[in-house]
Amino acid sequence: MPDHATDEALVAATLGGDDGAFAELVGRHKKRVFGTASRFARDTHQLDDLAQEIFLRAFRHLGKFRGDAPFEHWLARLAVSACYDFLRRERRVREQSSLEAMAIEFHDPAPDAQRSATAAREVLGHAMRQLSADEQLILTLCELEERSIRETAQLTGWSEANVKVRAFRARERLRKILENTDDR
Amino acid sequence: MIDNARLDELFAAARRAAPETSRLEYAFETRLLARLREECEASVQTWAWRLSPFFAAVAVALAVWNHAATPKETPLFAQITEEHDSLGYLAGGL
Repeated sequence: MPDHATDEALVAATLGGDDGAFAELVGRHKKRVFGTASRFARDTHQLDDLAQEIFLRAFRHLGKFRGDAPFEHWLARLAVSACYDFLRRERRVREQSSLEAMAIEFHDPAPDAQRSATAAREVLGHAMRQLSADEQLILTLCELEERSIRETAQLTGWSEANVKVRAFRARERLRKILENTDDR
Repeated sequence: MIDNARLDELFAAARRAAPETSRLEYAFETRLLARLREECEASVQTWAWRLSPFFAAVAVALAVWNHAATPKETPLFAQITEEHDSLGYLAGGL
């Protein structure tokens, strides 16, 4: 399969039994998939598992790709769906994590920008894990990935009005959780 | 009190902290294809296990059918045999 083959051609080749074509597809899109998955996974093991799960789903459902939208969009929807399932599973087995320790870092005015960004990510991650899977998903897509309401609606399959309402409610809940942490 | 601006700051800071994933991306395709092959093999074995009761039922059904279809000594056969014996007797065979 030549390097300049389109995604659609690679999909067709994969469906024809060419594993190399699928490897090429994975190579082209893994960066973006890892980027999305890293917003949901807590550590590198989870991230690797989640990224693999997304591509495994893509492989299993490749026959359903009709080519009326770019492969990238189709894969993004699949990735969001896999991440949503991951959040729901995670919530079921979630360990009782404490926000108290994180609150110290939250108030700590770290001089290093990267350190403070990492701390913010951790604080936010801990607070967001108190939210439902729906709320986590909507905040991750709208706030962390900065997707538009329309994009988020397309990715989740929810209506734009629904996305707006859910995003607003999720923000409010997150704020309350962070305030409660603040009070302690 | 955390207002909207503070929350936005927090989100902006979290956005900047995108984790480095290049180490995980290395040889990802190889790992993925290996897992795909594993799953494929595992699914064949799983299906074999799932289908084993069906094959067992087919084997039992075949055995029953075979047993039922085996020709038994029919009265007609007995009659022919008797006739044959009688003819043999009359012809001085016995």
